[in-house]
Order: sequence, then C-alpha cells, then structure tokens
Amino acid sequence: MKYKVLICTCIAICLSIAAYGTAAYFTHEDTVTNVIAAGNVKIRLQEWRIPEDGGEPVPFADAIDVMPGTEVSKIVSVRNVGRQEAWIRIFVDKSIVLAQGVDGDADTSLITVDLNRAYWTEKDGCYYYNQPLAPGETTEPLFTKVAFSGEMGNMYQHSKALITVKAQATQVIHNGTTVLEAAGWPDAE
Amino acid sequence: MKARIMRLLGFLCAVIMIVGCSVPASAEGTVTYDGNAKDFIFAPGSRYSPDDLFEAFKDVMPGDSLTQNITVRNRSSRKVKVKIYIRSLGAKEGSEEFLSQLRLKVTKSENNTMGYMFDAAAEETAGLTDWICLGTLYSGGRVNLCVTLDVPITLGNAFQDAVGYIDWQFRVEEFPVDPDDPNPPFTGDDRGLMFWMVFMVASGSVLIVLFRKNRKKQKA
Repeated sequence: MKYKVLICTCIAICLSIAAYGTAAYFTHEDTVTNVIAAGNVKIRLQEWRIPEDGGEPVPFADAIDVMPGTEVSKIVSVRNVGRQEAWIRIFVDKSIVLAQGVDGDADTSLITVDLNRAYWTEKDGCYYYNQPLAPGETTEPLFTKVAFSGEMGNMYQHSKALITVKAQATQVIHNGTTVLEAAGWPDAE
Repeated sequence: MKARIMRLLGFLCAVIMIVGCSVPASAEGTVTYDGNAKDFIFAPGSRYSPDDLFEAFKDVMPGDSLTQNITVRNRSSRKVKVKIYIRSLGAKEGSEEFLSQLRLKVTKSENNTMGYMFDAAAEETAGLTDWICLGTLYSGGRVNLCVTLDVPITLGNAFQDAVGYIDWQFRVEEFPVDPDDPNPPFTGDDRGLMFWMVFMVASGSVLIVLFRKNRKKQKA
C-alpha cells in the first residue's frame, strides 16, 4: 500500500512539474531604482558699492574715514541661487561702537539708509520683498546708500558704525499668496 | 492653376500626416516588456538613475502632492501572453530617514476603478513586499499604475536636497496564447483611430473625384 502511495505521489509531482513547464516557458526579472529628490531654497546676500569715481558696482568693502554729513554707497540685494521660487526678508541692524575711552550713548538714528519702499515692506523691524523671487533672479536693492548725519558730534570721532544685514528665505509654493502670509522662516537670531 | 491646387493639397496632406503621427510628449514612466529581447525597457530615467520611473518626483517641496503615471506594456509577439508582477525591495541604505517622511500610494487601474496596491511611508515595502500580479497582458496590452507622493508641509530644512532611492522589481512570465483564450488580443494602438478613419474616407473621396474628372476629360 505504502509503495502505491509513493508511486502516486511521484506521478503527481512529475505531472505538476510538466504542467508548470508548459504553463510558463519563460520568466525574467529586472530591478529599477526609482528616485525621489527634494528641492531647495537657497539665497545669496549681495552687497555692492559704486566706486567714488563712478562706474560699475563693485563688491562692498568697509568704508573708512567717513565724515559727518556724507553718504557711503552700499547696495544691498538678494539673489535666488536655489531651484525654487522664494519669499525674501531682510533684517537690518545698526550699531555704533564708540572709540576707546569715549563715554556716552550712541544714537543710531544718526545713521540712515535710503530704504526702497516701493519693493520692500517693513513689518516688525524686518523688510519683506513684495514679490516672489524666481530662481536666478535678484531683488531690487533694499537700500543703496548709508547716510551719516551732520549732527554727529566729536563723540563719534574714531567710532565704528556697523550695519549688519541678514537675509532669510522661505518657499513660495504652498506658502501663502503674499510674503506677509508666508510661514516657515528660519528662526531669527 | 490646377497644378497649384494639387500641390497645395499635397502639402496639406503632408502636414496632416506629420501632425497625426506625432506622439504627444508626456512625463509618464514606462515599463515595456520586449518579447524579442526577453528583457524590460525602463523609461524615462534620470540623472540619478538610468531606469528611474519617478520623473515627476524631482525637486519636491514641503506640501507637494505629486502624481506619476506609469504604463506597463507588453511588446511581444502575438503567440504569447505575459503575466507581469511587481514588488518593492524598499529604500536603499541611507535613504530611509528621508523617505520615512514621505507618503507613497500606488494604485492600479482596473475596470475603471483604482485599486490600492501600496499606501505607506515611502521607505516601507508594505503592500508590495510580495509579488503582486499586475495582470495577464496580450501583445500590445498595458496596465496603468498611478503613483502619488505626498510631502508633509512640516518637512524640515535638514531634508533640503535630500535624495531617496527605492528599488522596484518587475518579473515577467511568458505563456503561449491558447486558441480558446477569452479576451481578444489588445493591439495597444488606439491613438487617433477615428481621425485615421475620417482621413481614409476623405482621401478615398478625393481620389474618386479626381479619377472621375480625369475620365470625363479623357472622353471629352
């Protein structure tokens, strides 16, 4: 009896193999590597100046021996060097470091910049560029000149004026219809 | 004058032929089984991978919800039908953290309804862990897959320029076409059939008119 069962089993296996062989006579496998790549938002802060003798703008360098009642060329703009449209904002901080041994409270309002309010909107001490900035494009300048008031007295001799500019960007897509509605800005330090 | 009209007609026909034959550009991925070469052909590929099917999933941004259509085709002789299977091998090493942030859905078009095959974080194999049969395809037959990628708006700056790699495997089994197969072979060439029918009738009519005119002229 056991022998018969064994023979039946063998026949069944052979038939199965034969059936499989005729059912699928060719198989092949191949592998693909699919890729999901994230985009980016990248900007570059640009500071230029017009040389005193005129001509094309050149990269900004610290101005020295600035006298009261004069202006220094400083053109501040932002370039989108990423691959996505970006909303832009800029922080401008003014400070004055008095010369060693000089006491007093420096008045930063004596230093002013010619803000370009046609393209930039001020909110909470920060300047927002009104339009989305496309990849490869550069904003209109936030300002082009820094003016030192004629009212700066002797207290400011040999002092150092610092104009610190910091730019930030956030994505435009899925992020509000105006720059003031946009979220996701980097934390301001 | 007549010769000029004929030349103009010829030019118009040529233009129609060129326009009619042009294949519409699309961003769809294709998996073609070539029966002669006994191999798959994958397109479109990308700068990251030559057989990348996810052309639509580049430069993805937080908040994006993107769709990639993939057509799986059988381009083999009419003597065989094929069964095509798919499975996911998951995320490649180093891609897991980025892909775990993303949600991927894969659906297959079936009888005008879309059945979910995969709905999970992109780094998982989930519903595609085991082989899934996409269907039995005759020569020219096709199956449409729809892959949807959802990128959370909360995706952080740490993932800027991140790249995730997902391996998919395709498998084909060839069978002989049986005489009593229920479905007639699908040719797959359904582009502008109506246009060509109308064009054929119009061309025939023009030929008949010209032929009759020519005969009348000869009799006269």
